[in-house]
Parts: sequence; structure tokens; C-alpha cells
Amino acid sequence: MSGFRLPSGGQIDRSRPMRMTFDGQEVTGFAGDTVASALMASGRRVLARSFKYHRPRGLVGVGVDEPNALVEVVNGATVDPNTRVTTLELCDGLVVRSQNRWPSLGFDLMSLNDWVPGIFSAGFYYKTFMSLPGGWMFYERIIRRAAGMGQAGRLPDPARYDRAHLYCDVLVVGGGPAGLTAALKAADDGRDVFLVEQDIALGGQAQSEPDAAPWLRDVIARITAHTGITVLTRCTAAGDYDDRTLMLVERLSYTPDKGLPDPDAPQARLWITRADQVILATGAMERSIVFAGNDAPGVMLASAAAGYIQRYGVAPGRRAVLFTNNDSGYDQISVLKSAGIEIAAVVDCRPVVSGNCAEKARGLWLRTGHAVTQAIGRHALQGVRIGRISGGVVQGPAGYEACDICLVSGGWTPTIHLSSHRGTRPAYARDLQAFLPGDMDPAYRACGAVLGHWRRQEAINNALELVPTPAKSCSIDHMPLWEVPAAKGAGKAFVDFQHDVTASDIRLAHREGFVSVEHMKRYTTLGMAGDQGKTSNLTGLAMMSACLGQDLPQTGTTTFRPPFTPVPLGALAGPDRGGAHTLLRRTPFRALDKAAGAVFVNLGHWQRAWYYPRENEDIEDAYKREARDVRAGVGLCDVSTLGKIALKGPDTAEFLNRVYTNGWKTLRVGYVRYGLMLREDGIVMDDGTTARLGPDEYLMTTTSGGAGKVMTHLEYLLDTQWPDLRVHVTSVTDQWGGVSLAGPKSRELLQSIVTGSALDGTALPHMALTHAEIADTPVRIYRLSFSGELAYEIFVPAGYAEHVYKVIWAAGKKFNITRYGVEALGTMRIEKGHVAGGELDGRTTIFDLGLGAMASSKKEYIGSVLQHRPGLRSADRPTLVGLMPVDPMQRLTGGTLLYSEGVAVLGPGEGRVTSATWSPALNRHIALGLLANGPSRHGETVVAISAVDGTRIDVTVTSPHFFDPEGERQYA
Amino acid sequence: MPERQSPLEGVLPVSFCQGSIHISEATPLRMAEAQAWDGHQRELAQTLSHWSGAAAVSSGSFAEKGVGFAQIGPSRYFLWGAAPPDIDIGVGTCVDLSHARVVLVLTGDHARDLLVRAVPLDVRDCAFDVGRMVSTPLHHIPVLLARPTLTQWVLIVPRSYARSIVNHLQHVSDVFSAA
Repeated sequence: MSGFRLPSGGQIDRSRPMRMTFDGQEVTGFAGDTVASALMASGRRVLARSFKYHRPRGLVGVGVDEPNALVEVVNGATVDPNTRVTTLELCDGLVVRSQNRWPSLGFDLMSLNDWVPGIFSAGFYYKTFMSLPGGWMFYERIIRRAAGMGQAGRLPDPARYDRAHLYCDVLVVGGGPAGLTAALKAADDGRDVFLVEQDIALGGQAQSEPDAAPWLRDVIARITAHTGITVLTRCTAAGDYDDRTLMLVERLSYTPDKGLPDPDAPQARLWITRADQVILATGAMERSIVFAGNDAPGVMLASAAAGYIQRYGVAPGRRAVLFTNNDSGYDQISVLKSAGIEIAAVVDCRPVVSGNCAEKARGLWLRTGHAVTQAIGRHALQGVRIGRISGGVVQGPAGYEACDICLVSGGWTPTIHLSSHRGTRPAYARDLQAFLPGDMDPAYRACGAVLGHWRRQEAINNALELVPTPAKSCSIDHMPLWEVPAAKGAGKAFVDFQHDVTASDIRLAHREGFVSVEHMKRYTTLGMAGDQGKTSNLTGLAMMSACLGQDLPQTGTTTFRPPFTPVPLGALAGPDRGGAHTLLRRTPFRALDKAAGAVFVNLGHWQRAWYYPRENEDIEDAYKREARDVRAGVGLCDVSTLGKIALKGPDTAEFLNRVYTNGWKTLRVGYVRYGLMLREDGIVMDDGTTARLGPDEYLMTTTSGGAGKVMTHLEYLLDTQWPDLRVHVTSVTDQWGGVSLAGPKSRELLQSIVTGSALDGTALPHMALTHAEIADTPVRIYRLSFSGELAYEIFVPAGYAEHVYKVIWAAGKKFNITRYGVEALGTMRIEKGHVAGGELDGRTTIFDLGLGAMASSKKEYIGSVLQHRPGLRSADRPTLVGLMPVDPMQRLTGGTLLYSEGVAVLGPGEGRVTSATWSPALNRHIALGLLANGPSRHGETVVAISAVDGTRIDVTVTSPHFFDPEGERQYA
Repeated sequence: MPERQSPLEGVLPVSFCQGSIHISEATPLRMAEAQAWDGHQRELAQTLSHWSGAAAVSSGSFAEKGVGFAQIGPSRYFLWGAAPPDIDIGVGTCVDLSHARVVLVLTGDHARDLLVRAVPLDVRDCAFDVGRMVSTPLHHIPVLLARPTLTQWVLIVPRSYARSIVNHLQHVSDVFSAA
């Protein structure tokens, strides 16, 4: 016996048949069906295998709470695993397959796990594999292959995702009776309302209630017509964050109308929502009762059965046993009867039921004071055992009743997840046997079933209150019954279906001392699956409370965290993927560099010219040639990416004096000074030059990568530490294009095109600047050098930068000018022994870099105190050195570790290589590094060993200044 | 002086989203940032009002009569349209940013739909009326967004990012317009 399509009824469009495949077999249904309802109508009972035991599993719920029926959705080469069939709409061409089984859903060899006693109980892995020879690291590989549910696709997700910001006066979460009412009320008050509902249609539980249809039609019509309400269905409020910021995820594909995902269209939309007021009308979910074999396909929630009948015109079976501990279970009797389902018995654990319930069950076999003690059947329910229960204990032998569905109603659990996301502790309502939203921010309101107003009219009335209040008492008579104790040998009784957590696991956790609810959760994994324990958490907590002999609120509840339901990572990324992930920065010279055949490299956000290959040149050939040409003649390099910060104000010199390690009060107008700044902990933050342009005007340059960090640092200091200083800082990196003109012929070239300023060594000495013109364009010319050559940095307003570059290039032709990129620039700075990113790695002090002379002792500055901590002044700290392989042709690489000769190669060594290159000037490989006691070890041979591939190279320790150590070339 | 070059030459103007979004570049402007020292904000505001011929502005809005200014931070103003005024160093200071920013103009029926995807701001009429100007991140890049008319939005973006930002806006539009 199995489910079947009813001849009429449901909210499906029977004129629009739809076809899908499930494990390769065609399944038909109608527009409006979910995959769950279509599969149910096709007669399939087993839709999945369970997580650990690989037990056959069928449908339990009808919506987002479904723990069992997870599948893989196949779309071309991509696979979406762990998709709930209850929320996946049927559409033509849909391909779905079962997961977590081998070789097939019907015959799963891994189900052997279910037959080995004691295996996979709580803590099984820890207790077993930690102590076995080889340890966890060995067994983990094997276990991981068998673990998990669906297989994630191996290919990048090809889907596109949209993301938008949404602002509204009122956000109503939940389209059930309370949410609909609250939305109308707010909109009638003139508010701008967004109503979001995760389901396909509005109505919530009312969609399953036959007598709710007229009301529902009317209220939906009013909402649709209301100009103040925007409705988003198929939209889940997945997370709630600070300042009423909610994450909404709207599904845009897999609908009967849109069909399978269009590769060009977004598959989902992430709404980052900020609302003045949030109304949580998230409703409640029915929960089950734990008994032996309660996971057999055919055991499902009573409200879910009604949902399938009312919404999809599908009957889940033909002969039912209804098992309840409360009045709401009786509400489904008429729905079951209308579908022609024979009700074999109504089993109620309460000794006495109300006249209303008795009336609803009239003519049926009503067994009060009884409970279903065991479900019989593995691949499909065949029947149940029913026994007398009193005081939570089964009395006497149980009888057998044949049935193909057992519909369970264990009471209702408010959906309080969103109200908990920001840390609000839920409040336990004893009479309702439920946790309700705790004290929330005043901008939040909850109403309806989430506050314990279970009945439709109650929920509506509650939503109309000025300040909706929680239910004072339970409107549904009930008797607490979380678990029916299982007789020995009756089989497993499941609490958490999705993670295969049994009642025995909870008791085992208690016996082993896990008394905290948080520990119990992690030990058993209760509620840690993708469904976050929607149908199981409260039941598990209640059982733990019973073990501890304390009330449920004493035991507490675990913390609900976002997302409420799984969210595709692609939806979080939105359109910012692949090349769109990062916005690139372009210098004013990019078009010229591109035309010159530059190969670019992304450094941070910047796209920089890496090298300029000539015919048949690779990077090695190109950068070596470029560096040689610069040292022999003249070269032009784009340095626009240097961070540039304008500092203006009467207190700027004082500010610089506090920020940099060296003194700045004596810097004269028209001169430039090199500076190092430290973090407060004494570690070097960044370096660069600062020029004094006028009495109160300075221009700081930073490293290209450090610009943002330094700018933030300066603003922080001015805003919080020294607000009394009259200094304005602002980034002018984009205001100026900059080129470095370097090489022995640079002055001669520049003199041929510059007007308005002399450039000789007297007029413009090293570390001076001048204002001049090149081809009628105002420029600033700094004389300073990173390459170690006679060099100038020329800064031009960015809009004129190309013009000036072209003039320099044209004039440079007679000097055989060359373009050089960052690779050659890096080579020359290593030859010169200048520190850069490899050395300024956030771990080095000014003393480590051999720049201790720049640490002024006459003033205080940021980091001046903490840089003298004993650990930072230790004599054996790695300090800057030069490194030359004994064999000059052997290549060193950054990150290689340094060890003394004859010392065991253990741990991090005595230092590391920070930057390495082939030196065209020295015709050999060289490197900079940091080595313990470095300055005292010049001439010593140490061993460089790659931690990656074990390569071993003998190197000689030298001064870091390989080339022109006296600086004759740059001072020329 | 040579002609000033735009980083968006050959890129703008551009229309996308079936012609419902149009982006163009405003004529290069003089732009600057001014800052008043503590206790001198009112004096600087008066100087700027006098300079622009418009009334003083509060944070988040701008005034414009040919030239304009907007408050973009505590005691900090963004100026455009003409060479900035001389500011007494005892009151505050000013830095030229004319070459550092590019002014994009967004128009079209779906311009607002694009903006709700590009910036984390409330751009409904009730929250972002004509005359408003605010600083905001756009894909993590700081930009200024202004609304000079009911149908026109202005983005003032860093020059080095201008091309990437236009590409980003087009990419975002392509995604949502396909929905």
C-alpha cells in the first residue's frame, strides 16, 4: 500500500502535467506539486537512506521541517545535494536522484551498519578510532569516504545569483494567518510593508485546513490588491543580524513557470533587508513522538498528511493509525476521511479526551490511555503495536494494528529560530510545553503561533493586538509525552531523523556525564544536521531533562544560529564571483603599458606592469634585460600605485614626528625624507617617503600595498588619540600619476624636457624635490631612488599623465630608454638591499631590519615603548642579511629556512629567506634574509633548506647591500 | 596645458539592461576636499556658502548653484564646480582632488534597481530625496552618491577604480535584468 493521487482537490493545476526523473525513472505530476507530493502520488515510499544506519526513510513532513527526504538535484554537470523534496517544486525536465546509498536506494549495502549492534552510538568514533593503532589520522580518511549525505558537485557552481538591498517600514516574516493579518494591519496604517513567505503560496497551516479556504482567499485578495504590501513568496528569512538586518533568500528557479535554471538568469536572490520594524509570524511546527521503529516509511506527522491531501490532492496511504497526545491531532480526521483514507484507530495517550475530540472520532476506534509502542516494517510501514500507557510507562502486552501510515501529532513547537539569532534567550512556557521568543528588541514583534496561539482565529486576534502577547494558556488540550519507552528488542527509536540520533544515544550521553545541553548536542549531534533539529530538538532536550530529573527550562535550550535553512554559498557571494570578485585599479599609464606589450600582474587591487617582453622573451629574459638596461642607461617605470597621502595643517610636522620613528621637525620645504612607522606593538608597519611641499603641506608616500592600512592608521590617530592636532589627511593616490626615471642617463634625459627648474646635483640634490613643467604640464620631481641608480620620481596630475609619459618616452629614444616592470624593480631593490614586502611582513622590528639608527631616542612615537620589549630586542632575533649561494647558479626562493651547518634540521631554523632574485649586476643568484645574529655572521656559510621540497643549498652570509654599497650611483 | 584625459575614454556613455540604464561621465570638474579644525566648522561652512552662493548644508545633503559642496564627515566637505576658495589656515584647509575622482551620471527607468544592488543605501524617494549626497561603499570602494534631480543619480568614484566600477555596474545589471 502506498500514496496515491486523489481524483480531485488540491491546489495543483491538473491541466499542466509535469515530468521529472527520480533515479532515472520518470515521475509525473502537475504544476503546483512539489517533488515530494509527486513522488508520493507515484506510490514511492522510500525516498532516502538515513545518515549513519542507511535505514530506508520516507516523508515525515510537508515543508521546510522535512528531515528525511533529501536528494541530489542534477542540472547538467552540476549537482545540488541535500535538497528537501518537500520544498522543491516539480518542473518539467527536473532530474533528481537519491543520495547516500550504494548501489541503489532499494538495496544499500551500507545498511549493514544497521545490523551491527552498538555500532555508531554516540561517541563511537572517539571511543573506537582514537585508541586503535594508527590513530584517528589514519582512520579518518576511510570514515570520511563513507560519511556525509549528498555529494557536493566538483565543478564550480555555474549558477548566477542576484543580490540587493531592501529597505522597508515593516518586514513581516511568515505568510500564515498571523502574518497576513499583521501585514494588512501595518499597510492599512500607511506603512511600507514587505511580507515574506518561504512557501510557494501564502496561508501557512491554513492551507491544510478545509474550513479556512474562504477566509484565505479573501485575505490574499486584499493583500494582493494593497499598494502598500510587497509579497515575496519562495523567500526564506534565513538570518537575523544587528540593527534589524535580515538575510532573505528568494528562490527564482525550479518553478513550474520558470522551469529549470536558465544559465543566464539568477537562480536565487539575496535580499539584505533593513526594516524599521520586524514582525515575526513564523508559526509553529508539529513535532513527533519517539517510539520504536518510528522512522519506518509511512510514519509521518499528522499535519503533514493533511497538507498533502489539501494542498496537493495526494493521499499518503489508505489505512491510517492516528497517534496523538493533543487535540490538534483530531483536526485531521475529517481531512483523512475526505480523502477516503480508512482510519484504523485513533490512539491517544490521554486517559480522557474532550467531548469535541470524541465527537470528531465518532465511529472510529478511539483508544485513549494508549500509545503506539512500535512501528513494524522496514521499507514500508505494515502496522503498529498499540499498548496501554500510564505515567509514561507501557502497561501489559501491546496489540497489533495493520496500517500503511501512522500519523503522529506530538504537539507544536514555535519556530523561534529568527528571534534567537541575535542571542535572545528563548523563554519557556510551561503550559504550552514550548519555548517562546524571549525579550526582544522593541522594534521586533512576534505574533500568532510563534507565541503559542495555535488556533487560526487566536493567531489572527493576536496579530491585531497593539502589542501581541504570548498565549497565557494552551488552547489545545494536551498531555506531555515525548517518548514511548521501547520494549527490549523492539528496535531503534529515533529522536533526530536527519542525524540518526536515537533515544539510546541521549541516555548514553547522560550516563557518560554530558549533562550540559550544549555538550549533549555535540556528543550526540542532536540538532546539528542541516535541518537544525526542527522536529527533534525540543524532544531531545525533554528526554535529557528526564534523565537529569529536572525541568526542561533548567536544562535549557541550545542556540539557534543562522541560516534557518541551508543557503547556497553562491547566493551569499551574489554576482561578485570570478573576475567580478575584486574591483581592479588601473594606473593612468595602463593603456600605454598595454600597447607596449606589458604583461600585467595583480598586486592587491592594482594591475601593474610586471614585465615588457620583447620578441621570444619570457619573464626571465625580460626582467634581466630591463634591469641591465636601467643600470646601463635609463629606464621608465610606472610607480603610480605608491600610496599618496596629503597632509595639511599647522601641526603636521608634530604629527609626523609622533608617527614616524625618526625626526621630522627639521625637514625643510623642498626636501624629502625616508621614514618608518611602527605599529603600537613595536613592529614595523610600513615605510615610505614624505616630502615637505610648503610650510604646512606634506605629501606622504607609502608602499602600494600599505596605503589603505596607513591611511586608516593616520585617521584613527587623529580622530581618537590626538584630536587637538590641526592636521587634515586625505588620500591623493588617484590624483597623481607617477613614473620613476632611473639610470645614469636619467638626468640628461630629464633636463632635455623639463622647464622651470634646474636638475643638477646642487639644485636638486638627493632627497630633494622641485616643481617644474614638462611640455606645458605642471609636474613634481623628486630625486630619490629605489633602484640604487641616479633616479627621479615624476608626479603628474592623473588626467595629464599619459601626455607627460609620451613626452618622456619620445625624448628617451635617443638614450635607448627602456620600460621596466615590477619584476626588474624588485630585482634592483634586492641588489641594493632595500627592504620591501618580504621583509616588512608584520613580524620585524626596526632593529631586525638594520635600521635601528632611525629609531630616535629623543622623542616618543607610536611603537617607541613596545619595540623595546625584551623579546623584540633579543640578540638572537633574525636580522637582515644578504645571502649568496656558494654555487652562484643555485636559485634561492623566498620562505626557505636557514640553519647553521652541522645542526639538526628541526623546527623553523635560525632564519628565513625573505626575497630572492637573479642579479643581472652581479651575474649570480642573491637573496635577502633574516638570520639570528645576522650582522655578526657575515662570511659564515649556512644551509638554506626548502620546507616545501627539501632542497638544500649552501649560502654565504653577506651584507644586504650587494650593489654600490657606498651609494655613488644614486648620489651622482 | 594638454587636454585632460578620462580613464573612461571609449567606455562611456553606455546603456544596458535593454536601454533602461544609461551611464555617462560628467564634464571634468574641479573637485576638492576641505576640512575645518575643531571649533571652526561654522566659519568654514560660511566660507563655502559664500564661495558657492548657496545656503549652508547639513550632513548628507548638498547645495549647488553652479558650484556645490556637501558635508561628507565631521567638519569635512566635498567641493566641486570651481577652484576652491582660499581657506585661512587657522580655520581649516583644502586639498585638490580634481584628477582623483570621476563623476558618473546614472539615468533610466532601472537606475534605482541597479543602485539597490550596488550600494547598501535606502534609495527610496522617502529616504533619498533630491539634494542628498552621502558617502558609501560600492563593492567595498568608497564613493559618493548624490541625487541632483528626480531622474538622475550621480556617483563620484575614485579614478583608478572608475573603469572597474562601470564594468561592475554592467555585470550586476546583466544578472538582475535576466531574472
